[in-house]
Amino acid sequence: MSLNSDQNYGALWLLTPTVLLYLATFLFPLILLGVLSFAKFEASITTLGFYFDNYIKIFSDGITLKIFFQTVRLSIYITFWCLILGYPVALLMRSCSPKIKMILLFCVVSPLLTSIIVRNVAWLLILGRSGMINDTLIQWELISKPLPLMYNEFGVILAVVHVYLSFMVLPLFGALSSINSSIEEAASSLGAPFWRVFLSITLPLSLPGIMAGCTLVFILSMGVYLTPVIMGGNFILTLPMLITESVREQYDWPYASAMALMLLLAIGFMVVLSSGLQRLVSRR
Amino acid sequence: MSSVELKSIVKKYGAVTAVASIDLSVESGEFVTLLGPSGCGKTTTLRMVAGFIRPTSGQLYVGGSNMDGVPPHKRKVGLVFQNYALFPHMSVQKNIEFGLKMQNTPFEERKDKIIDALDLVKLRHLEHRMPSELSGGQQQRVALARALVIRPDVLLLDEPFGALDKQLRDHMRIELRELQQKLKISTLFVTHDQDEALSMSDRIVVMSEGQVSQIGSPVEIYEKPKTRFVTDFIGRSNILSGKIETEKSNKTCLNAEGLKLPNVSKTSHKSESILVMIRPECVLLKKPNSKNKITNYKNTAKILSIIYLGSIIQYKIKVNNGPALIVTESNVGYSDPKKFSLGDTAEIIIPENAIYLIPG
Amino acid sequence: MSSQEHYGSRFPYRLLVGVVTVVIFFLEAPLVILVIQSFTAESYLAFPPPSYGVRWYKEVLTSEDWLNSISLSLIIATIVTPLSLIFGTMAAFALDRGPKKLKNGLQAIMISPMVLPHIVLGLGLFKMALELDIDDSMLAYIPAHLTITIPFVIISVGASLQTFEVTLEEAARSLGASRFWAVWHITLPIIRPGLVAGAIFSFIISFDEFIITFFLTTFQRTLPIEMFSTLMYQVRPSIAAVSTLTLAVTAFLTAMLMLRGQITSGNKVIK
Ligand SMILES: Nc1ncnc2c1ncn2[C@@H]1O[C@H](COP(=O)(O)OP(=O)(O)O)[C@@H](O)[C@H]1O
Ligand SMILES: [Mg+2]
Repeated sequence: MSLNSDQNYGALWLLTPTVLLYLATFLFPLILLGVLSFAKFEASITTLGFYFDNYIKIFSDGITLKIFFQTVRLSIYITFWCLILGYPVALLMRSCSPKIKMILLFCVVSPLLTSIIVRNVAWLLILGRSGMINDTLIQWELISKPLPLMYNEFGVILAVVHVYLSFMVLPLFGALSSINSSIEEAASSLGAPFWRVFLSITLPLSLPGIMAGCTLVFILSMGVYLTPVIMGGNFILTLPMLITESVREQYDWPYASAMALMLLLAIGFMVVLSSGLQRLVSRR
Repeated sequence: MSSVELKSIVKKYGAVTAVASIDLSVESGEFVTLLGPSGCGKTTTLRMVAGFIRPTSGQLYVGGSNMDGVPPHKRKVGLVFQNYALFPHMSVQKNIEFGLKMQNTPFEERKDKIIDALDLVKLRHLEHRMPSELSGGQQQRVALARALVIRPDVLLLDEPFGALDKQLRDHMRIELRELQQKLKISTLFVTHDQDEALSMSDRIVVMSEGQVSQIGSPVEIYEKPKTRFVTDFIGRSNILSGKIETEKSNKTCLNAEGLKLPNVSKTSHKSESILVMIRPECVLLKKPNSKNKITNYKNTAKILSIIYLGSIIQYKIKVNNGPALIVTESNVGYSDPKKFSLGDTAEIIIPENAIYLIPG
Repeated sequence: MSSQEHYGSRFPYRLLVGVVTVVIFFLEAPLVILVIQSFTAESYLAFPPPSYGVRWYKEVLTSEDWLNSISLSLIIATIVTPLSLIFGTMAAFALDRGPKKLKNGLQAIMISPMVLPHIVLGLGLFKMALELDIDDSMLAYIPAHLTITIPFVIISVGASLQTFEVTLEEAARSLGASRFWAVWHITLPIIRPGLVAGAIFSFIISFDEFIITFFLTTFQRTLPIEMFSTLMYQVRPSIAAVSTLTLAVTAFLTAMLMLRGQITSGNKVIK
């Protein structure tokens, strides 16, 4: 309110506890990783300094870059499926009765509050070698040996989509509900069939929500560790897995730090790209 | 001793001057109204008195003591907002009790004071209701009781009736004024509604663009406005530019855009341009050729429009060789509302005491 | 109701409902199946279980490993929640009441741990904890968890503050309440739904947190870590039982969240 905007710099001291915490748990650790990423790791000994060895290794060892692009590719698939599955839900939430909206909202929000590991366990019990689907199919003698439903990309994508779908639906719903439905009514009263109305009005106007949702899901997918490990076994390697492994098994901090920074860079790039696109869209 | 005194109070927001040097005082038991169009700085002034805004410069006294650096809760002011600002999670009784609790009033005394306050605003029976279960008028009365129960040095009200419908507003106006006179509490009231200001105040402070245009009693403000702004803002008026002229008979007269009027100014400086105000309700319309002995200045006019407003009838007339005027006539039973029809010619009579020259 | 038919004229409503039903089934069915399987009386997992019983719940609730990890997770979440609420609420007030022109920038900084991949945060915190020699201890877990829970408190409390009428606080101050008491008696009770939401988010996020804690621990095991290591070893019915227990805790808190929101908003309108 304008009434209250009388130079309230005094209120900012309330930020102190959180800012101090963030300095210790957020800023310093990141700086530490930045410093470490330029260190040298030889014969299990870390030498601080200004070496580019780790970055050179990332781009030249052939495997890191491949895993990085595999992570990007998986994230794109995940984002795509979240969009495909999430859009109809957001669309329905916008046009249904308040009661159904509450139910849908509950279905969409509750996964945010359920443990990721619990949901992965659920999929494990369904898709596993002796999971529900394979068991049933074998029992009915439709197949003779288990289908490979997990420990592959399919299983990983399915389980991650299950975890992150909410993050897509919420921004989509926000964007869709801010569209004035009289615009669509006007179009259909002018004789446009529903798909024309959808393609030429609803979809373009919900673009900011689409971009916000996609950016969020993509960023989250790039950093996901647990689900690929559980659902992919050691068959699907992602950058977060590689990072964890280098630290926990090889104690190669410099290399892990460099990969972490690379991950951050990729995510930062996505954020910049998406906010640039957002600006482009809103300027139209 | 004044209850509230503002001395050259200024408030600037960066380049924006919200209040440009205001001097005013509210005497003990007096009802003072800040009146002015939206954005003229009324709320800012009030909030400076309450202590939510610190003046850029100037001195402010409440109850005789300098308020510089005194936080709102240490000032003895009662505040009533347009949106009532009742605490939604507290019953009527708890709302009223809040201020007493903050003053550490003992329990027994609190109980009595709450009952007194509820009686004062005639809401004793609604003591246990929640604010959401009250009508707008009732909510505003609770807000009033809540502000009064702490016996403030001054009661501050910012457009308190703005959210009420017209009828309730008129009713609350009377009720507040009666209450204020009964308690003899000094009151600073903010409104942009001139009817409210005229009907309730001891003194009105007309504000414009952060400055005081005029301070005076309702009668002074209405009948002797000092500037064109005040004239325009208060009531409906015909404002004409006039000149002093000499007639054949060697008498001076006032020519207002072609309308011949007696020279009410005591001077006879010619060709000096003057602003002439004529209130619509002071002009008399007569059928032509009816006898009149009030004035020698005969003007005739044509009726351009007639608006029937119930208690009054409003005409727009065009004076022959002169300006268009708004004239109102009160609709007393015995006068025929259809005295004139469009296009009729009427004789107009403007008594000398209805002609007012704006000084500014 | 009318809006349904309304929209139906522009979009094949039935098709939409059909698709959404499938999506919701996809979201919820696995959890239902998990819960059902957890009640198996057999020594293996199957759907539907050949016979039902609470055998595996008994095992979980008498196993020292499970109980230790559950209590560690509960202790951490119980310490983190009030701290997170205090830090986050203070920050939300600062953002709401501070200079308007700084608000967006500061808000972005204050909630930035949300978009930082937890793997990176965990890595950095691990290194830091090693340097300070506080890894595998509460001194490391609590600040780490706070960092990821505080943004949720800032968002939920901030949303409540945005709809809060500041004149209420001013009314209280004009009635003799200092700034602190005005906030305490008026603002906090009114924004309670936001506070409750922030607390519940904090509790659940801390209780479920995996990757950061995974880095920080060596011997101690929180519930998610215990589940993970069991899972890597063998999928047994006990894991389904533990999952269902976790689900029950979070479902209870989620229901509280929704119910609280309704009670408080309903209170204002009806009562
Ligand atoms: N916080 C503020 N920042 C900048 N300008 C303000 C602020 N508050 C008020 N103003 C300006 O000061 C002037 C007076 O405002 P206000 O006192 O609210 O007027 P009123 O109550 O008479 O309608 C307005 O022009 C308004 O735009
Ligand atoms: Mg105002």
